[in-house]
Amino acid sequence: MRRLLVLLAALTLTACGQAPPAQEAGPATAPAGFPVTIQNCGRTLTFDRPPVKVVTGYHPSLETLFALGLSDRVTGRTNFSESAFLPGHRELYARIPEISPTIMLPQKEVMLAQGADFVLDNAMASFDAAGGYATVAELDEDTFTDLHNLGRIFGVPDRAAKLAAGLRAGLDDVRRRVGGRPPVKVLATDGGRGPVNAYGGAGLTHQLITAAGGRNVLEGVKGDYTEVSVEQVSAAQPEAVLVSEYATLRGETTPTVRAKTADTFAVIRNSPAAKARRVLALPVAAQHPGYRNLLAVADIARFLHPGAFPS
Amino acid sequence: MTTATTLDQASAATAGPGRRRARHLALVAGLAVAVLASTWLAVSIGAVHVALPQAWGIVADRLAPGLFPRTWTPVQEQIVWEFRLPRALLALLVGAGLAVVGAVLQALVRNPLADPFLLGVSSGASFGAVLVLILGAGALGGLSLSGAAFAGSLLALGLVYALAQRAGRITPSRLVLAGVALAYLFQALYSFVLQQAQSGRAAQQVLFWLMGSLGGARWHMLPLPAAVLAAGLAYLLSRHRPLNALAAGEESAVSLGVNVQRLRVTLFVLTSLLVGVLVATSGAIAFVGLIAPHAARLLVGADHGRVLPVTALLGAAFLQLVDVAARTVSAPQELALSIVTALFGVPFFLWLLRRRSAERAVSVA
Repeated sequence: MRRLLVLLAALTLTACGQAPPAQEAGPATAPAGFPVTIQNCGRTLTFDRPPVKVVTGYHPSLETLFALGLSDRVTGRTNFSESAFLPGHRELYARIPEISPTIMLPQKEVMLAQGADFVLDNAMASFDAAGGYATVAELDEDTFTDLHNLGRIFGVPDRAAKLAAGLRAGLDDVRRRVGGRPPVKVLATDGGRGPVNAYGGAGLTHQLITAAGGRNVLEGVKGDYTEVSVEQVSAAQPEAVLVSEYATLRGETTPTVRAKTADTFAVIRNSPAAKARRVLALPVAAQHPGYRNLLAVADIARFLHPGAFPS
Repeated sequence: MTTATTLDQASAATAGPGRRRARHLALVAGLAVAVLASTWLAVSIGAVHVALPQAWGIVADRLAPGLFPRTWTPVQEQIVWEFRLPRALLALLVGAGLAVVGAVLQALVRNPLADPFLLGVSSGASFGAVLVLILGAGALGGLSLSGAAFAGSLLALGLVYALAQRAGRITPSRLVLAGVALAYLFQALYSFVLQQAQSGRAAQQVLFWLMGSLGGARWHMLPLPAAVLAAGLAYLLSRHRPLNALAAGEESAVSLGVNVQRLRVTLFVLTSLLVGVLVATSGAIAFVGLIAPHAARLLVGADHGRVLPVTALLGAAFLQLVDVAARTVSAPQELALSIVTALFGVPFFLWLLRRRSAERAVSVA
């Protein structure tokens, strides 16, 4: 199960015991193109009409809907204040009622009160559970599959196709530019004086690095986000460092990147990355499933191979 | 009944010189060798392979510069000298310290289940650490993680002390109850902060810290725990007779002329400070303080003049081996120490309990 987004038609399920009114008062005939049936997370979901009251969980899922021009369908969202918005997203975000002050969906009663007909959230678990080594192809394909499905569910397949084409072109551009260049050795970390919190070879961050023309120095470490020995990190000799950027508490924009960078450079003091002080802050939202991580590939590629992107 | 047997054991231990003393010295010497051997192992192996001649050449070169040809890289030098050796030494200090605190607390509250975290001190320290990890250093006036952990342990210490005393008297039962109650309170507080956290990553870091790790050991972290442990151990050894009397019961201690109230307060403050310092450097490491004293009593009886040094050595060697396992079993990933102390410690402890003499050893603390 490697779908990027969990699509839940959760609150319309009969098991909930109360179907939202929208369901009952719907038109007798389905709109053109409907009903739509898709496979998601091992389940078959059928939609008689496009959802009109959508609630989103962790922010990257909302970003994906923004990118599809569907912000008017979203009636509730969670809080996002851990790092910067994508260009143009802050205004759209501000217009949507906040139903949870954290990045998590609110408790059951609040969720039911939304009367939503569609809930969209991220599922990192689908990446962790396998514990295996996902490939870059899967990263691309999962995101594109999700875009395709979302386009069908919301009755906007053209927009989804256009967005996917644009993202694909972006990825192809990166691939073309960094293709012939030797991979840069990258350490992706979240700080720590020992053990170091870092990203191993089984996860999205590893895939981002590979797609951007880098080589994860901890690719041999099993796991996505884990505690790694300072010895191993010091010996890894990275040429560049990615530091996860996020605020740890709601509504706070505590700068944590500087401290995490200082700790990391102390551990890898003898590495080329520390000597050149070569570091990029990577918003943690880009390290979660969503269309943002395809954009992040270009950012990381620019950082790793500036010569490949003459401006 | 328990009281009588312990007193007998204690007096037998002090009264039986000669062969017993020789055996005790041999035991201490053997344990000292075990401590050295485990430390040798800890410096020799790790997540990154450094060949033995290089590893010990690096150490020797630092102690006596220029004696050996430098056949190692700067990275290897950093690994052995800046990461491994201080970590190995810190493991000894923390293991010995937690074990000694366990032994003293078991005597102080006359409860074989007492361990360093009984008095709420570690929960207080954990609360301080969680605040810094989640809110950032700015939240507590720029306190570092260990500084906040220490401040939290002092806060818990003060509260437990205030709750446990009435009219200047501290009784073991009130101490235990106050400690346990405050431990729950601090756990609730840090769990609340943890739940408010935005990020699963921050929560994972906190949980790892709460389970104990020596992974961040550096040289500058050693002097404080070393000084506090040395001073504490020296004081405790000088007071081992009153400690024996206290373990045997308040009445007998009073009849032996011990100022029970003052001794209890001193022991409470001393152990709490020691736990605060240790938890601040390494997080909360479970089990060492529970099993090392019991193992020591099985080996040497109930006299604290013998129990304390043996406990310290056992705790040091045990935690050293535990830490070697924690950083090599799934290298280069690291395990939290409490996982390993329990995995290795519990079977050993159960084996001890099944032995005939265990009944006696556990009965007093």
